Amino acid sequence: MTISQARQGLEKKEFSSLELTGSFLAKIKSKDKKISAFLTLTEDLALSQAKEIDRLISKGGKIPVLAGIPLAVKDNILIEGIKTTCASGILKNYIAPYDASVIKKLKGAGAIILGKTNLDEFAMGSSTEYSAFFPTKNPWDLERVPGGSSGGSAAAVAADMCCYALGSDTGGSVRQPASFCGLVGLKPTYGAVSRCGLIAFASSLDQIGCLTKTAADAQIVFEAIKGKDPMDSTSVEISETRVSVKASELKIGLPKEYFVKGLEPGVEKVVRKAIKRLEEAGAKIEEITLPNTRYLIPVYYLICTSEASANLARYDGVRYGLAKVFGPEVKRRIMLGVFALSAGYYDAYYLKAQKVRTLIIEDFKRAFEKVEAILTPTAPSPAFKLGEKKSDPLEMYLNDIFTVSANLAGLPAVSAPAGFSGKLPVGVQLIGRPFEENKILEIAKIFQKNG
Amino acid sequence: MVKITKQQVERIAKLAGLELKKKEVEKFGKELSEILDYFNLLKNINVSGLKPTFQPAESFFSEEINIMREDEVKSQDEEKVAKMIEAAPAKQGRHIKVSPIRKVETF
Repeated sequence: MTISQARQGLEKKEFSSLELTGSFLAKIKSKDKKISAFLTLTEDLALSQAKEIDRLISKGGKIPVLAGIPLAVKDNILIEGIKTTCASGILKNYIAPYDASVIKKLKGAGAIILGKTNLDEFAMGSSTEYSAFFPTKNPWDLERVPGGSSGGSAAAVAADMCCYALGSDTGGSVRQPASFCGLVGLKPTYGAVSRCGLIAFASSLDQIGCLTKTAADAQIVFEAIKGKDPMDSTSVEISETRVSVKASELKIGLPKEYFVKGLEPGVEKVVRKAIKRLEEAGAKIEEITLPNTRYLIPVYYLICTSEASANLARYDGVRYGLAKVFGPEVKRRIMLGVFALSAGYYDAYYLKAQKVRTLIIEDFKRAFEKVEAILTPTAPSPAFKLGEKKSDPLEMYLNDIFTVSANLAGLPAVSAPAGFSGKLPVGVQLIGRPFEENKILEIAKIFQKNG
Repeated sequence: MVKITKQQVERIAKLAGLELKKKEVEKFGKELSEILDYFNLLKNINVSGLKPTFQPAESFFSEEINIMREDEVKSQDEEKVAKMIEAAPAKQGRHIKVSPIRKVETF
């Protein structure tokens, strides 16, 4: 059930929020045994929120657009009084003392929180297999991963255990699971959404995003969570709201460096089909070049691990549990980061990566002089099997090849479902100019509608 | 070929405050060598004269990168403060107990 459908049902009084919430909770209880998307259920919170919304509805007043509609929240976003583990042994008993700013906004809008979803420990991973508790399964094929790190959120939405979910995206952690699970996943512009109350991984890359069933739903959620917050000095006020997009006036770029061998043939077919649909709708498609694409993975992993090693230094046993229980991927990344920042290596690794980042951003600036949006595959393959890449960290890193650029440049990007490779969903990514979230979502609607 | 030695792994782990088992030292040495070997791709680029980008807003869409505010003390909700202290593993009254961070060492 989409947000729009739930909204309609509530307005027409086809069901109450309490009934809607109850039916999702029942679904979670029956389905999640196999999928393992949730780490914590917040049943009491959800039911009390739903009763309150029903009371408001019965009084007849106008209610906010997300009111009464259930969502799931990635377990690295704080909800007051609720366990927030980050899927780590260190935080397994941590009760959040306050609400993240996005949660404050959603609670204020009457949203119903069903529970907290699984992720790779500290959001470090691309499969949700690095959760300290258990891996999450892809609802399309239980032998496959849902992607990551927001894999629990993606699986929960895909299995219709909630209407939508919040995730976080540092290098593709919302978009890649959206692609693997057949959903729309939006990573907003750096600064568009407050990160106060999001457990930090890499501060120059992290953004909170949403996983929804449609592009229209993503616009609703983005509208509700965006904006400046005094508690996050990187957040900004956004003037751009809804835009109308005419396909015939669109110019979309295809970076030739993103269409190379290594792309699974089924994925390539889906992407080409999406391009064709946009062309048929009247959009102009142009080949562009982003020449520094081959440096993306080293630059991204040097920067994110360096920032992570600084952010994770707070888990020294003073305020939380002890760092001894970090899982292997977190340890690996802390070590990489500490190495890249250490005397003698700082210039050659960390500083160099930050300089190449400038080149990567210049690539995008040049491209956006010619085109309004850039279309690429979201991931090189559809969902892979559990265990397939877990033992080879470098191979897991290479899976992020198409998604990390938007984080390095701070650009908004969305993955939207565009077809199937065999029985598995495949997403197409659109990268936009800063603060043009709504435009790329409108473009996604065009190729989805013409499908 | 980058080779991260056992001694290097142990040194990095010490800097990071991580305790590694013998087996982990070996495993991480091999993995870090492979990863850094791939990262050496960056050796080919000339970056002279380029400014680093420490956060994306700074060169892409905003001139304002230093956001300043008055350094004011804002009183916090007592209940929230109590909850935050409660979350710490060791405490005494309104204080969080900390083991000594570092003995005086010479470098």
